Amino acid sequence: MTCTRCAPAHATLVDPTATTILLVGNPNVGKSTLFNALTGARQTVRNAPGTTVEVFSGTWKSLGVRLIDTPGTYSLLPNSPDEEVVVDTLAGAPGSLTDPTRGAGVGLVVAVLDATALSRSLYLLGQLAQTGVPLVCALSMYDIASANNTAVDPTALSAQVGVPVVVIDPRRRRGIDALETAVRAALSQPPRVSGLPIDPGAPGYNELVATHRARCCGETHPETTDAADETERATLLFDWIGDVMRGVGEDSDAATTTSLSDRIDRFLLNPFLGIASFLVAMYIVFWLCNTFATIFQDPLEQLFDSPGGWTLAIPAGTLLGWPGSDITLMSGPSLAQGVSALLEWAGWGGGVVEGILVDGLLTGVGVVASFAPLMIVMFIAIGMLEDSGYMARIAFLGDRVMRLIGLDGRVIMPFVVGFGCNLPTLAAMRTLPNSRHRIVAVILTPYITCNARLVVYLMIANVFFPTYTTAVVWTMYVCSILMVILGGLVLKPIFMRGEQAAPPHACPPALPNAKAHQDPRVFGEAHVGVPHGRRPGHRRPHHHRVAAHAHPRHLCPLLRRRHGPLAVRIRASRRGYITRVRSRRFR
Amino acid sequence: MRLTTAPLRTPLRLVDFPCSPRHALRVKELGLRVGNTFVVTQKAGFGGLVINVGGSRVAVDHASAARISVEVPGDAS
Repeated sequence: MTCTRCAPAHATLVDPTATTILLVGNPNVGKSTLFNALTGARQTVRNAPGTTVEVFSGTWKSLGVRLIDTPGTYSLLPNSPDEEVVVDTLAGAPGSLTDPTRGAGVGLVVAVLDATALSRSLYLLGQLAQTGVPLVCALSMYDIASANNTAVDPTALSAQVGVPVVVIDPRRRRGIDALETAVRAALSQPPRVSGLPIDPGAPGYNELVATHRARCCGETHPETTDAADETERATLLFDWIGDVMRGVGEDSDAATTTSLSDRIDRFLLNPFLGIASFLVAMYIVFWLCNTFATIFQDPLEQLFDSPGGWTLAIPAGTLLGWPGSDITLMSGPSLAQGVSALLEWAGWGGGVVEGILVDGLLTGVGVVASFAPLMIVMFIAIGMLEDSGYMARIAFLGDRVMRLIGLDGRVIMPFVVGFGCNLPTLAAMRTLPNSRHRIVAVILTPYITCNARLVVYLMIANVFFPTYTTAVVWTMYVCSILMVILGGLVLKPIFMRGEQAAPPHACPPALPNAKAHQDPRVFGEAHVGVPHGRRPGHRRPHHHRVAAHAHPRHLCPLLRRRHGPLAVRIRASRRGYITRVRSRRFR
Repeated sequence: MRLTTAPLRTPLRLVDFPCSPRHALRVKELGLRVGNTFVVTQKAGFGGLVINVGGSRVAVDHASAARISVEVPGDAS
């Protein structure tokens, strides 16, 4: 449905040269990939004003309009800070990125739908329709749906929902031109979803846009509803979804076909094979760190402080027992040599100044820089495990184990993150609803071996067990896991004494979201109701990594009071569950 | 029957799903509504389940699955 009368007036409300288009969709449907394809290098990262969630903003190259990639959300009824940002951005809330009084309001929403989970995507689409903003649908994962014989006809879907539906494959840059054409047409003649009225009480309701439409199209909107009608609103959406699905020929019976991801999950979710695969995966990660990272660690440190210059060489035996001597790739002078030569020329050689600069500054920087290859390899490896969906399987597999030691299954992922750094793990424990669980989890966290200890492990293993370095380090990590489990069993009767068994929430466990376009298939649809800590935060040191479900608004109340509402910045990763915290002064 | 005893790869209809009010709506948003049909695709280790509801894979922990009542559509029970 489009209204030809809307276009001219709508265009005057929002300056076409500063119109903002939003990308909204479920997590892991390919929004970010689409965003990158549309904006190229013309993008910036900023925190959503008034909140501390990171939002990507860029310019749609071919259209010349601002494009915002909102965090993935299953619903406009937010359960996390990220989802709150989506709602505020949609509504053009005062102070938000789409505040119309500050320039560009919301001109259009591109709803990215998952063709492999259409009914779930339609729920979000229906909520978007109720906000009153114009919509265009981009249907992603169509190739996967086609392979599974579950793909719907986009033309039929478009006829049912009443707005353009464009099939896209952002990874291969297919459908981008068609999407641009549809968006260009929608900006001039805004379409709206059929079968769902605009609801002033709906989350994300954009009063400016919806009110204009009401005047222009002669519509009357229902009275503002209270929170108790959320269930009624949801029922209306479910009925609408059912009508749409029947209209496109999708029956309500669940598919019984087994996908490739399902077949892989038979192994990954098997208690024995799954745990074995996890141990193998972690062994590979540590092998990569021990093998490839160390190749660059020494040269990087030598670059700064070595009096004899730096040398990049592959040690003998690195590559599966490569015979012979070390292979030297390149070498060069170090900064220390340069600084010493300069000081010698100036007549300050060999004195206090050289000692401070070379033995103090450059040596210190060199030590820190030598950690970079290790951190890079570790983070890349962990990131690949996360993005593949593998981490979600492990988290689910470990859920019941965590409960056995008196912990919520939600700690498995922070515990895994703890292998990188314990500090975000500690901060993530704030999200546990039970205070006793929090205490136990915090006590157990230091038993998790972090990256900093890896260097010590490597040193010990190299010194005392030079022939079995990798196996020894791997054993140390396994021992740390066992210590966590044993510690939990010891603490459980102490801290959980007298506590009734928690009522089964009867909710799917909270799991991190994995990239849906990668096999194994996303496992994280059950990211349900992760409670974020609503309690006042404590004083915190700077520069920490925390889990995203720690509520950022309350982490540093002291800093907020001193420096204003934006004193604390938290970076929510695109995966939605890793963040970085920095505290800064704001003007 | 309880979801924990439901057969694999067999269409099931959700009969009852007791849930805390805080999570009730989000669970419905994920597709777990009374009357909806789905399929158990995996029985994971340690009692968890993975179900296919509307094309989405949803993980259900053991404790929750033990409280969910389902039936096979068409069964007399």
